[in-house]
Amino acid sequence: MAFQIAEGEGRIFWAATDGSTTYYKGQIVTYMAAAKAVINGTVIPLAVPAGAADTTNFQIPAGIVIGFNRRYPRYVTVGGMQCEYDTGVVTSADQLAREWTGAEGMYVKGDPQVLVQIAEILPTTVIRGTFYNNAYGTAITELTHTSVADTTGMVTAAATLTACNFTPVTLLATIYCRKGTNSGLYRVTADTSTTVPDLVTGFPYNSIIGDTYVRVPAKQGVSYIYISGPGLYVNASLGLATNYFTVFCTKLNLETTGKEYMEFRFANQHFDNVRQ
Amino acid sequence: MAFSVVEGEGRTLWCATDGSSTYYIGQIVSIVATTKGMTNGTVVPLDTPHGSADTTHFEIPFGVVVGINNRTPTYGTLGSKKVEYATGVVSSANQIIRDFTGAEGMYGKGDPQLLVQIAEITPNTIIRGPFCMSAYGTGLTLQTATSASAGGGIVAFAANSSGVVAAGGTPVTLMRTMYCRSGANRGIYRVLVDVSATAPAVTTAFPYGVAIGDTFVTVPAKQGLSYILITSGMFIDAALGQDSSGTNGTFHVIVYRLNLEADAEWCDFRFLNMHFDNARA
Repeated sequence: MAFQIAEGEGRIFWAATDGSTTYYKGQIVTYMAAAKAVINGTVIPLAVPAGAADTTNFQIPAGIVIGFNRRYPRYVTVGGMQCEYDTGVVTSADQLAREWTGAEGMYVKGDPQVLVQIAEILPTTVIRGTFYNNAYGTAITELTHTSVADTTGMVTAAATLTACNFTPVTLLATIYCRKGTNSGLYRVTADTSTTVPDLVTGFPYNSIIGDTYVRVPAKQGVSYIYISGPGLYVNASLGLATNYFTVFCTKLNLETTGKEYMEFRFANQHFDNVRQ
Repeated sequence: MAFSVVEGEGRTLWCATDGSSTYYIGQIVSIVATTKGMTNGTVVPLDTPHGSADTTHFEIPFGVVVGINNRTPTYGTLGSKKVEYATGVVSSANQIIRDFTGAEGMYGKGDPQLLVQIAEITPNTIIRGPFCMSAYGTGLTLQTATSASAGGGIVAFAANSSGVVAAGGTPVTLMRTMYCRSGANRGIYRVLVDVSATAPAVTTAFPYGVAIGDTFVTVPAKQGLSYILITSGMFIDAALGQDSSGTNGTFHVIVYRLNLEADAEWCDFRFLNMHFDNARA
C-alpha cells in the first residue's frame, strides 16, 4: 500500500495532470516541480527530496491520488504489487481515444483529459505511509541478535545485530523488538551504527541471541524522511542526513514484515514556496 | 460581489476601523499596514501586494468584511457596481452623530466608533474572489479566435484581444488558464504554456478543433499554486499578477477551482501559510 490519509480536514477534488507522467493510486502529488524556481501547470508526482527539508526543490504537497477519470481501471505491477495507474496524454486525438468518466468540480463531465482525484494534504493532515527498503514492495530487513547477550537493555553498545538498511543518525531512528522478551516495545536509538544499537532509554528486559528487531530512520516526533517511488513510500534505506522532508511522526507500527508504516504530517514549511 | 468565505473554520468577529479608510462589504482586510516594519492599530483594507509573495509589505489577511455597524446601510458605486460601505471617523463628535447598531464581542453596544464585522481568514480558509479587468465590476476581455486549429493547440487571436497582459505585466508560462466560452471546446479549461497575449499555447491540447470565431477568456491563475494580485481588497486583477519577477506584486495562493463562465468569473483559493507570518523569508 502506498500513502493514504489517516486523519485530516482536507478536501477531495479533481486535478489536471501534466500530459506525460504516470500517476498511481496512493501517490503523493505536488504543486511544484523539482526545482523551486520551476513552476508547474498541474499536479505532478512528488519527487524525492533534495536538500535538508527539501530546500533545493521546495515542493508543496498537494494531496494523495485516490481516483482516476478512467471508465475502466488499469493496473500495473510495481514491486510485486498491483497498482492502479494512469498516464497523461497531450494530443486531442489521444484524449478523445480515452473512455473517461466521473470528473467533478471545475472540470466538466465531457473533458477527456486525464484527471486525478486527490485527497488534499494540509499542514494538519496526518498521512499513513509504508516503509520499504529502497524499492516499492520490498520489506525492510529484519534484524537478528547474533552475539553477546545483553543485560543492559542496550544502553551500553555491545549487542550485535545483523545490519539494518540505513546509517542511523543519533536520536532520529527507532528500534522495535519483534521477538524476545522485549517484543512489542519501541525505543529511540542514540548510535550511528548499523549493527550495534545504543539506546537512551533501555529495553526493560534482557536481549538474547536470536531475538529479532527492525529499525527505521524515523521516530515519534520530528523526523527526517525520504519519500521515493516517486511519491509512493517512505524509503527505509535513506533519509536522516542530507536529503529529506521534515515531518512530525505521530505513530509508528513496525509489527508486521512488509507492512511497517508510520503516520506523520509534513512540517508547515513544506507548504510555502518562499521560505528558508 | 467581492470576496466571500466559502469554506473554513474561522470565526466571525467585530473589529475597530482606522478612522479614515473606506470599508466595503466583501473586502479583505489586513492586520498589518503597508510596510512590514509598521503595524497597524486596527484592521485596514488589504493593499495591493508589493513584491513576489508580498515580500515588501508582509500583509496578513485577517478577514472578509461581512457587516458594518451602521443602523442604515450606505451604498456607493465602486467601478460599475453598487456596494455597501462606510468610512471611518475619528473625532468624538463624528462618532456620536453616527446612527450605530449591532456591535457584539469585545465592543459595547454603546460604542459609537465605526466597526466592521469580519469573517476570519485562516491559512485553511477557502475564499471566493471575482476576476475583474483593472476595475471592480469590469469583466474579462473576451478573446476571439482569428485562425483555426484542428489539433486544439496553438491558436491566434486578434491583436486587440488583450486577455491578461497589461503594461508592466509579464505573462508567466504555466501560470494562466484559458477557458472556452463558445465553440466545440465550450466549458473546458486548459493551462497555458506561452507568454503571449495573442497566440496562446497549451500543453494538454483542447480536445476538439478550434474554429475562427470561437471565444475564450484567460486569467492569470490556474488550479494549484498561483500568483494573484488583489486590488483594494475587492477583486483579483485579471490584468496583472502571476509575475514571478515581482514587477507586479503577488500573493501566493492555492487555487482549488476556477469558474470562468460569462458574468461569473471567480476562483476559490486559500492564501499560503507564509502570508500569515510577519517575520519570514
